[in-house]
Amino acid sequence: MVPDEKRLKDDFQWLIKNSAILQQKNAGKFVAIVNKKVAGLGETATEAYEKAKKAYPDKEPLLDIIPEKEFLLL
Amino acid sequence: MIDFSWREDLSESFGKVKRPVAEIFIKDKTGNWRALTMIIDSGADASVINRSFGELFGHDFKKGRQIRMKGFGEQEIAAYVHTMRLKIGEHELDAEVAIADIEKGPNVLGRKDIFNVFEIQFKNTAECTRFIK
Repeated sequence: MVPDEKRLKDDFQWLIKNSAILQQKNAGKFVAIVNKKVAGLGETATEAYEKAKKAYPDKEPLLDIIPEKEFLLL
Repeated sequence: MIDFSWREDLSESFGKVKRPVAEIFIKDKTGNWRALTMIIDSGADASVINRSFGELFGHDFKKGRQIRMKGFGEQEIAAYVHTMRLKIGEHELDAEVAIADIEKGPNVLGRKDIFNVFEIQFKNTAECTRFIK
């Protein structure tokens, strides 16, 4: 059982709709999403995660790395 | 059945692109589930996460079985294979996941231990990926 699974699903929907906006200023950074908001940004996954946990100690963030714009996935 | 909508990204080369991604839960070394987004890649032999996520999830990544990863071009990247507990929708499974020895790079959901469990359909007109078990 994953705690907060419904909220994490909503955060995933928010992230996929807002990825291009996040790319404008934060491409290449790690991001942690809580409650449809950026709760943590960092140069490492741990940095983004810890910022989010500091802001929302009882919530598990959704994690991602914001793609670089020149990135071409093969 | 689970549907994951595609993520809209910006590409210098192609403008707006839609990429198939999924919300995946991975159990870390302390037994807690972590949620992350992975790109679904039917062309990838196995799943890969970058070192930064591997460290966050508590893996001593070099303790895994070492493999060499190669995409387009000559460059090889070292990676280390670990067995991880994954949750996709309601379904839990063990999968071999490689931790790539790079700080950044996309997390990729590849074929090994995944595509043999789910029927995965890339639905281009609906812009979503369907996982059927």
